[in-house]
Amino acid sequence: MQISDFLQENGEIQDRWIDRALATYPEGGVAALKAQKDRFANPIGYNIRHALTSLYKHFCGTVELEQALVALEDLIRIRAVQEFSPADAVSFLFLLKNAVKEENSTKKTAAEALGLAEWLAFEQRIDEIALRTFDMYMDSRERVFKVRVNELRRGTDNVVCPSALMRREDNKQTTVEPINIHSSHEAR
Amino acid sequence: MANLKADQLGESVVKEPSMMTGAVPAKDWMDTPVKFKPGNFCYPAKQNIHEYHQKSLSGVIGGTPREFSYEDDDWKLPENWQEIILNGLKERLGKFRSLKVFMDCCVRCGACADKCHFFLGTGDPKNMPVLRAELMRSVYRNDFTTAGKILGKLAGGRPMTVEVLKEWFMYYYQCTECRRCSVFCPYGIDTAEVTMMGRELLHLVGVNTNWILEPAANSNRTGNHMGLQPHTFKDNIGYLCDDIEEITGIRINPTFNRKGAEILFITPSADVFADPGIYTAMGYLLLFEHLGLDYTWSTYASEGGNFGLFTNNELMKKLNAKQYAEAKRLGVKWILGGECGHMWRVLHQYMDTMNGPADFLEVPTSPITGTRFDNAATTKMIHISEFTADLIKNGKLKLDPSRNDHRTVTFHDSCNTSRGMGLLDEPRYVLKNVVNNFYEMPENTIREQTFCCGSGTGLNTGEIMELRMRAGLPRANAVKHVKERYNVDTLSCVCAIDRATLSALMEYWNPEVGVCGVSELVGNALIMDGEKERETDLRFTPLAGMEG
Repeated sequence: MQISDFLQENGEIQDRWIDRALATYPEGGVAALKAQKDRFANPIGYNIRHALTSLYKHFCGTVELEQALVALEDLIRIRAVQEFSPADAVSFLFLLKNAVKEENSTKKTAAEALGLAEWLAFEQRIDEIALRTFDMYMDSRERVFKVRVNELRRGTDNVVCPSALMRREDNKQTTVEPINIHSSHEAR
Repeated sequence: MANLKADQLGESVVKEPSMMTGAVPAKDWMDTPVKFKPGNFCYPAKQNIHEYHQKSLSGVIGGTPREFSYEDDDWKLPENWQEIILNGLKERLGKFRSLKVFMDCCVRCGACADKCHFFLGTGDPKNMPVLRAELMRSVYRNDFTTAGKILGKLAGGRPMTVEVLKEWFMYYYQCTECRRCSVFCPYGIDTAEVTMMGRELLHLVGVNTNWILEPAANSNRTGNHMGLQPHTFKDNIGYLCDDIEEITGIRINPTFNRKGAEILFITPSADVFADPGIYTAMGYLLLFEHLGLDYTWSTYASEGGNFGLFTNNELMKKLNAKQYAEAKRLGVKWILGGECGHMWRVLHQYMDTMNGPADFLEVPTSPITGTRFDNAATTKMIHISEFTADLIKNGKLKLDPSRNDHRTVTFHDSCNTSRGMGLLDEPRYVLKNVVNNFYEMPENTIREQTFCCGSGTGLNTGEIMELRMRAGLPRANAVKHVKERYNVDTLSCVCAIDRATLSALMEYWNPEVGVCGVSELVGNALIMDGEKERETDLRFTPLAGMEG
């Protein structure tokens, strides 16, 4: 069976996958993240559901990869500033493999199950997307560092008026000094 | 093998210690200790800052001034720290009836549980307001209720231990006192006040943060957070006037510390000396010039903000006192306040009883429209948005909103002005008159239900940048929506802390969106008598149609 048909016929895999991704958050809070469906009242829950559903639909053949990657990037942007290790931040992607494998192992006939070639091709597609998530994760981390440096710089100007700020922007290339953002003890 | 690794990953994230705090799941929350690591806590006050406060506020800022890190096992607390905390709690339970009520009346209905931006950004259950308050309630039950004294843990009590103290520090500094939870509480429990008490108690044993105490020390010594001395304060406003002249052709010469002025104007020092607050200050300067207002700045009351609110009610009172003192010294009739958030919580809810009554002042009456602001009949101080909205309503401002056509604007309600004083419609009324492209964020993220910037109450420090980014997620998520739907590129607000913190927040989540004060947009739109044709806005950005 084709992976797209398999995923469409076994739609519960998607729910299981979303549940397991939500379970990467601390135990006592997961129920609330799962229950609230409003995207503004529950951005973590919404973005997990949205990204994973988009990816699932992509594997089902109904959503383009680029569209699914946009949703995935929104989710990685969130997980990159939560206290996950880099591996934990992107681990949810691999949980789909488990969910598919578990479902596949319950199939009694070859007609219902995924063939080896299909499985290997599916695994490879997930791995390729995983590589893209590393780029997204690093982009987010670098952005946090830039935000921190820029905030520090904004706080150290001696004269603050629009024309002076413009001059600073013009001279940006020459005024950047190395800052160890990990050890600096910022204060006003 | 890839799948085995995935299994291990899935297993570890569910069963190993919580990634948020190091807490081990599947145990009672009371038994899950917090773990401090770089990025999840603010640095303690520098020794000299701690010493300074101890000298000026003996008994309020306690503990031993010392060099240490919250990552250390030993926080070098006073020997009798436990006694100090319990006595402090006892004193506050007697002094503040609200605290006693909040300790007793929660029924754990859960209405607040998913309303906190820290919970929504971390998923950490101890950031549910009910559980955050329970951190203190458990100690209260243990030592101050009969059931708790007899039954201990069975009655939800637990003794005050070092682990509990560390947990208080972790979570009372993951609350911005925004009060969104209290909007949903059927009993009206104000968790912000629980956090305030938690922080007060921590200060008694020398558990504090530098980001709050250093600006508070500066404010006490030189009158403002930035530590600007009078000449610097005056000079920088002069530089702003130079740029206004270049942009508009109008020379403004504001006065400072002028006795006999009708109105004293007080705003956060960040408006005078920080990007992007300075553009808001330019808006004030243009507005007052446009009106020919009889007002003065003060280099003594040169700070609207009050980091005492984040520390201790006595420090708050002390820092606030200079506003009335200066008004009295200068002999003004009333006070006009600039765009700030927590400044207005202090003014609206505490100033009158802390440092009032200001019976030497008059009920604020606009000299331009004659409107008497009876809502400020006791404090004698009104908000710039109220003042401006009244001017527009009475047709007293010449405005060209097309000068803001290069911006598509939304409005962030600051927690303190919206929930703390009900300032909901005035800034919107002003905005709708000075910009043509204005769009609201979703209903459950604005007005009374607004989401915090994520870095208020003295949490806007660099060492916790990731924490700030996740705490600001619900706000940024709503901005993202209007950015994508309406091409919003400007997030306006009436709070100086917001202007600083939202700038960082947007840079991470929505880099295409800039941050500004409402008065900056007013300044762009104001048609000044005798001005030259404007080619740029107050940031020297070309106006729509002037790009070439």
